[in-house]
Amino acid sequence: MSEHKMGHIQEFSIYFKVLLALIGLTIATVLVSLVDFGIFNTLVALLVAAIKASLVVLYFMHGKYEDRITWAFIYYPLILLATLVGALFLDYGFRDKGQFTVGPISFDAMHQSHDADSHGATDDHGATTHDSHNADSADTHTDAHGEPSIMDPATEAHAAETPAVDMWEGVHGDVEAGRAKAKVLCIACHLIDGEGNALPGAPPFAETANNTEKTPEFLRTWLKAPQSVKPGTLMPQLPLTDADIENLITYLHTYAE
Amino acid sequence: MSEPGTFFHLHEEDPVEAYENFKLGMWIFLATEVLLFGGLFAAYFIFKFIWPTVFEDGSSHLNKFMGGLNTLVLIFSSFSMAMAVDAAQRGQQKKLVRNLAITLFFALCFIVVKGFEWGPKLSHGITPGSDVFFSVYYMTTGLHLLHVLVGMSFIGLLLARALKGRYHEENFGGVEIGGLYWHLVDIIWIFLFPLLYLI
Ligand code: HEC
Repeated sequence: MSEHKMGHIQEFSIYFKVLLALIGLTIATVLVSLVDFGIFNTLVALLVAAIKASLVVLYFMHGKYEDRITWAFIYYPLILLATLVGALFLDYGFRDKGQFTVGPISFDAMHQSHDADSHGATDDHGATTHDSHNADSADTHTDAHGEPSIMDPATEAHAAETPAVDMWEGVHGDVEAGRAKAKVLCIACHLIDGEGNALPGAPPFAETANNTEKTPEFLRTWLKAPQSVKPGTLMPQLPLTDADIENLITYLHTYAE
Repeated sequence: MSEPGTFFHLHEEDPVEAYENFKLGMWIFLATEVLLFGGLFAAYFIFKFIWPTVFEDGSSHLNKFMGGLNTLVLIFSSFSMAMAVDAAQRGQQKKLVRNLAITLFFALCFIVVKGFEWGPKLSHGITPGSDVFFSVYYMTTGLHLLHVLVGMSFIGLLLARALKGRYHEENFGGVEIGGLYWHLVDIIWIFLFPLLYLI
């Protein structure tokens, strides 16, 4: 064994060339990102990163001079990783669109899936389950024993005796800030200006805004902790400050007719 | 003959074999590190696929200049680390100490730049809870930062030992293993930078 040398001594010029290549590739990837090539931006960025990483492994880490067992341990995590990412994308790419709890449902796909909708009462408004639920609570209050009502009775009574105009008087949030926040946080499930996804069951903002039972007070509580109003709801508790909430409900109110 | 290259000195070991095993052990550990970050990369791609607008919006809040600067800083630190290993292999004491110190300095620069990035964000209320992009951003860059700190402790140890003249032509395994770890920290950033800042 003693004639077998330890490690491999590499010429300085190789290290230096690799350094220059890494700097050049970094600058190149920044420049490429300034031009919009759509999906190719991602592919180019990943390709350049892979080339840079290979240079580091081969020459800085002396991977070029390593034996096969070492290379087995270089490839093995990469193969596992490719399997993981590949499987995830197969899953997300081929899921039945209507079955998405949260996901990229295009507007068109939504309409198609509604035609073939088999769960909940089908109607023209799009939000099937929610609409049927609202109809229940409008008729009677017996649903307190069944599906938990989204409205608590106290708020409902209060809403009934207060005219719709008054209760919005004290709400002075910033509409544009609300819209901007909604475009980031709510767009995955509610349509904003016709964009994003309409998650089945999530009511359009216009519907909420035109429902006089949905007081600002109710909406504040709802946005702060949907689960506290309606346990088991798919609407998540989002990271919102009090100011965000005021802006959002002011923005929601712009949908009122 | 008990070479200092043998890690635990528990039994007599062929120094070349000990060196090879030591290195292979590090490569295997690095494979687990790739998988650790790989899970986060998978999360990144899935969330980006589901919420493209959130990612576009979040990414536009990041400072490309600082991210690019830190990429170059890490590339230079990788180069100086490679030079340190080379010096150890050739038994050049002064060059080894100098390059380890330079690597530590670059690592410190990386942390300072990171501080200038995170500080204003956090004080403007952009936190891991802001949205799913920033969850991924803080988680990946935070875990990476942790690796930078671990790498710095490793290099600091190498520096202290190099100053005592511990490393030479027959014993440089420690420096090489430290180098492997440090290069991986660089490689992870090479992927994080374009994914978070550029696309
Ligand atoms: C993960 C998907 C999702 C996200 C993100 C989401 N919602 Fe919802 N939202 C829902 C669902 C589902 C419902 C229906 C709740 C129910 O009836 O269980 C709903 C209901 C609502 C309602 C109606 C409540 C009522 O009683 O009429 C409002 C208002 C609302 N969401 C506002 C928002 C706002 C504002 C945001 C962004 C800050 C947001 N949502 C983000 C899924 C979501």
